[in-house]
Amino acid sequence: MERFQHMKSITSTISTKRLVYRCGLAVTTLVLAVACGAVDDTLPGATSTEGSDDGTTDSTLETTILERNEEVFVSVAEIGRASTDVVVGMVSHTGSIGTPDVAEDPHASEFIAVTVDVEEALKGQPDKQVVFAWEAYLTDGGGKRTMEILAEGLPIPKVGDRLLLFLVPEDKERVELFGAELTHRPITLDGLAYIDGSTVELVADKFEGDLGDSLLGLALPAIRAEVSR
Amino acid sequence: MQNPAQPRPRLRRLAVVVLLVATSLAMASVASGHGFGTTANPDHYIADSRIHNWVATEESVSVLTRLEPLWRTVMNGQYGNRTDMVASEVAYGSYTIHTDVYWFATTAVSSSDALCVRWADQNSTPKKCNQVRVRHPWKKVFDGTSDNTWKQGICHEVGHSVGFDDSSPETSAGCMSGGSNGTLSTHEINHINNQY
Repeated sequence: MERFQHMKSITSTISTKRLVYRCGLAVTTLVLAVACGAVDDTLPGATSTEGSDDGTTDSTLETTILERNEEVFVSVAEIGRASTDVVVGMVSHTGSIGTPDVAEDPHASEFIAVTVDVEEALKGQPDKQVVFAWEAYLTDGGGKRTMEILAEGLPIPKVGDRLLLFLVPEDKERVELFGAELTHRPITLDGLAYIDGSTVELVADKFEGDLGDSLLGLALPAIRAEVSR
Repeated sequence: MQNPAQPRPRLRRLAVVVLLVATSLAMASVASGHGFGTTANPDHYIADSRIHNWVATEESVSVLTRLEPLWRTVMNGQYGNRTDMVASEVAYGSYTIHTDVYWFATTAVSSSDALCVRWADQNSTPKKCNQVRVRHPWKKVFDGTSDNTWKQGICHEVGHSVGFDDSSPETSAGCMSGGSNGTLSTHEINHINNQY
């Protein structure tokens, strides 16, 4: 719960609905974590950073919002067409894959790999799991986390989160860079949305009228229909 | 008996009307389009001062050769010459914690981005950022992406560092709204000058 309360104070641009969802999501996750135990550790082949590498948020850290200048999709059908795979699934594992830019960045970002167990493929034929990199923390360049990154307002995915993902295959260069078994990446930050039940409840916070706003509140059958158009 | 020290009700009402009209006129030039600054968007941070210095922390000579001149064009030609901000280049290799913006290219990202890496004041409204990091995708440095596209990207990311968010695009497109050649629109310049 602290995680979401902390973010609420920072990301006041995010709608009340999204924040309410975050609180609900936090409760759900807490229950899941207690029931299942958080199964997080560093991926094979990944570099580790000092301290915790579990990909979970640290409410003591300040937060900052990453703003990315990326391709804009205007409809679910359009982002669906541009994606090779569209899946719904649950995060089963997260783990640090290191800080690749320490030579040039005094605040080098720590990335985590997020493993999602695929429940349903709305497009494509992905394996049972997809793995993507997610930029999670700023560091002091020596491995110590200094700030938590909210990518266009999106919280760091954690075990138990249900996601809708519009994916493309991960670039070969990034796979080599991270030294982790990454299979895909969200095509844009609009390509990752949090689901509650069968409805999209949290999306990237870009600008009013963008695809994220269209996705918000949309049920999976409607998304399935759009993606298959 | 009315206290002569207090303004008369009619005059007070008149003063309120005048104040409201003046406020409306002052906001009219920047009210639509972007969210920026104290009045339009207190939720997005602004820079901690009008002085905006920048440095490349990029190590690759070929990346510097390609992008550094474009950074100079945008910072000096747009933010320095066309707004009330003071754009100042820090000598290569002279990064400090006081540098306002630093940039480099990396394989880790597939699109340019910006974020505040150090807050100057988290309790002010809007928050004030001490230092912003801008990254460019390494892959695009050498793939034939045009100068104008790069200038647009640089202008856009620096725009975040001075206070713009990605809110509703304006009609007259500047670099925060996908303008194609890295130029600030009059609307965007008004936002900046009203803030700084």
